[in-house]
Amino acid sequence: MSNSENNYSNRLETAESLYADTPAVAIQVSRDVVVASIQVDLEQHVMARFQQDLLQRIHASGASGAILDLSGLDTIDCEEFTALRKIITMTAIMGAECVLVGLRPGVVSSLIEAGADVDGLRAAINLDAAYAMLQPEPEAEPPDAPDKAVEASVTEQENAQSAVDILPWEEP
Amino acid sequence: MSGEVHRTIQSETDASRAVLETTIYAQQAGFDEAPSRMIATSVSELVRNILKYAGSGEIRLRRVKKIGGSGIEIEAIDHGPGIPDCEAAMQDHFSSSGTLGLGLPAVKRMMDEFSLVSSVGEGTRVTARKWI
Repeated sequence: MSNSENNYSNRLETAESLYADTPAVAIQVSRDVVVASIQVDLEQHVMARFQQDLLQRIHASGASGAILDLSGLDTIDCEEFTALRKIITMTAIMGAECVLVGLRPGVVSSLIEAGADVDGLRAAINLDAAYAMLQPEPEAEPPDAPDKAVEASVTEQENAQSAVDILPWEEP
Repeated sequence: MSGEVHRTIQSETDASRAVLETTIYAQQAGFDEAPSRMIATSVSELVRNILKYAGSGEIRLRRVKKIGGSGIEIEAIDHGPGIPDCEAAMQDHFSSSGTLGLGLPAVKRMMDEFSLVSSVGEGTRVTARKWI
């Protein structure tokens, strides 16, 4: 191992021990997308760790998109929002597009009333809709499996539908 | 419920607890989901400022009445360094600590009434009300 590699792994260890007591945000990779579910208060250390973990997972998996599930957050204040935006910009620069899901009505109205800058943010009503935004085309299938391609586009339509049907229609 | 709530803010834990308590307090006072979150978010901004600039301080919540309505008053008090230029502090993107200083203007927009009193070396008091 060269000296610089050694330094790097030392630094990684230091970084890991730095965050040993910091709650982690659950992150998993599914269908080429990194999904992060934020269920803890986003205080400064949590945010710093989340930023590091998320970018590392995107880098390691080569994912083309990221979905941030914010349904666990009761409030988002300006500083948390600014930090979130920063992380979203970072993922974009890595080449992974970011979609927010699960924002609560109260959180959304607070953000807008507070005058938060939401330009350029992408959001979806649920996970299915978020996947549909990130993967609008069904994956190219080999020509000898046409049935699967049809199946995939049907699922895609169902996804798109579920993004629209927020409430079931009730007869008056 | 007569209760006025006073909470000392010294750590992130105190801050989180105060924000959570504010949501519950606002809902018990009769606010709906969205305005309760706005009041809680305002408290979140205020406690953040307390921790960042003064180190410690206090949050007070009380119910208030006026002719034709009732509401909530939140008060954030600290004995920190104070704000030299209150007008500048109320501008978006002003901050003396390096982050985007969105906090106070955001609180003003989310609440119905807002006042900021600060003197250098003595501390800062922010009072804000929201009516149902």
